[in-house]
Amino acid sequence: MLHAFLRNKSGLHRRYLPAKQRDPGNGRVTQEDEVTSTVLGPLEFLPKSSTTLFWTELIRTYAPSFGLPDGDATDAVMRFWPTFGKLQPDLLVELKWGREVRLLLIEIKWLSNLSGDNQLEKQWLSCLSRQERAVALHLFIGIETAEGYKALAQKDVWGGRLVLLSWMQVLNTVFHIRNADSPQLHAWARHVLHFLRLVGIVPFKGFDELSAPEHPIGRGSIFWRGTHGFIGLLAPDVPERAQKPIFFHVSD
Amino acid sequence: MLGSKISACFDFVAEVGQEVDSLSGILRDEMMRAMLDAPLMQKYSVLKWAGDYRYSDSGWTCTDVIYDLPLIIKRRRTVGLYLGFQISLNGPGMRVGGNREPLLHVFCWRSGPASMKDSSMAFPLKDEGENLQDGSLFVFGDENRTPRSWAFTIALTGINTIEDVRKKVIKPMQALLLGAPAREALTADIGGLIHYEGIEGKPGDYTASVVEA
Repeated sequence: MLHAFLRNKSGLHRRYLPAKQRDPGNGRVTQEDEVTSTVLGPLEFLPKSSTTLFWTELIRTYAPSFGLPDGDATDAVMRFWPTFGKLQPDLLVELKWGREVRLLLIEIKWLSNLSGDNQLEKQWLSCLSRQERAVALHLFIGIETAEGYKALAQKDVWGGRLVLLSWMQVLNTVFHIRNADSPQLHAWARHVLHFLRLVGIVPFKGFDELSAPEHPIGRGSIFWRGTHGFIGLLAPDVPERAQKPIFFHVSD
Repeated sequence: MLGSKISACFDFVAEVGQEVDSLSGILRDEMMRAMLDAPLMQKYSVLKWAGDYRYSDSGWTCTDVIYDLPLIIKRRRTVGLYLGFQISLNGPGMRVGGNREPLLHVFCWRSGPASMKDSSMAFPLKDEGENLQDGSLFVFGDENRTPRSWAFTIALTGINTIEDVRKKVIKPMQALLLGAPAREALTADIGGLIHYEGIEGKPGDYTASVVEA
């Protein structure tokens, strides 16, 4: 939230003010700026190796053909809501490998739609120079990516440089690298995973780490029979080949 | 003892359900992303995802989820196909030929939007006029009609990472959408592909086995 407060993106702090100073009529949607700030803001405070790891891992996973330089990036500079004339994308990340630079121009959506039909197109063409675009990716991050798809289908000015990401995909990267670098990265990941879980975005961990109950109940698809009471339920070992398919089974 | 087992089973169902939800999210994102690839983008554009669930007869557990994405075939300018997936944990979506594994069906067919009742994989298949190619790809209706209507199946528990999603679902799906035959798109090295075999005298019914990589 600190970043959002700093750039006057959130009125949330007013909730903590005395009642007469509150602004009940403030209907402006600041959710996405608050989420941006809450989730991505702390990256700026992490060790450089952790910040660069997050961004490079995200790009290597979802835009493998972009061709980031090999090895670890040496620096990452994050500028929240930089202003380019009338335009203000949500984030500009500058990744450095010594003198080699890659830019990530990022537009973030939470529940709202894009502002106007060509918001993304304008951003890409106006915020970066031709030379900058040659080493840049444009990231659209939303709960769903359909909005970004629509923009691309209308007019493709990106030539493969627009990457549509859902918050879920971002979160999967967070989950993937949570133990990879520094204790600070781990702490950030833990908070982000927790916060996004509160709003219904949960990473995919896979099925192979789930532990099934030891002796599952296997009686066809009937789980219990209310009228006969629970005592009548037997929990047999699962046979090698069940007569009827069952839901629970001991993993081999 | 019984009480603690019941409770443990419910915990387990909730955990499985969470993974199914998260996997569904990944599948939707990755399928959408795949449609941005130049060769597919030239042929199709997409609308918005629709989804549906099926519950056990008692209504206590969710047994299946299905999502599909309407595809507009560009040269015809109409929604001609629905691309999607169905995850079946229990019931007719996975009860086929003695199989007891949860299944992930990947499909592109002409019925939609997603409905477990009206357009889903449910065995035995009823009057679908399906042809089984190489034991792994159902092609529905006229095999020579383009684009084809098809479905293939992967064992769910073998899908545990985004790399699995790409290798087992997205890559074969892209190849099939571009017209590749089953033997090219669905090779054994995918791992976890379901191999079907027709049962004599039982149309629409199949035996099913997992092809290990």
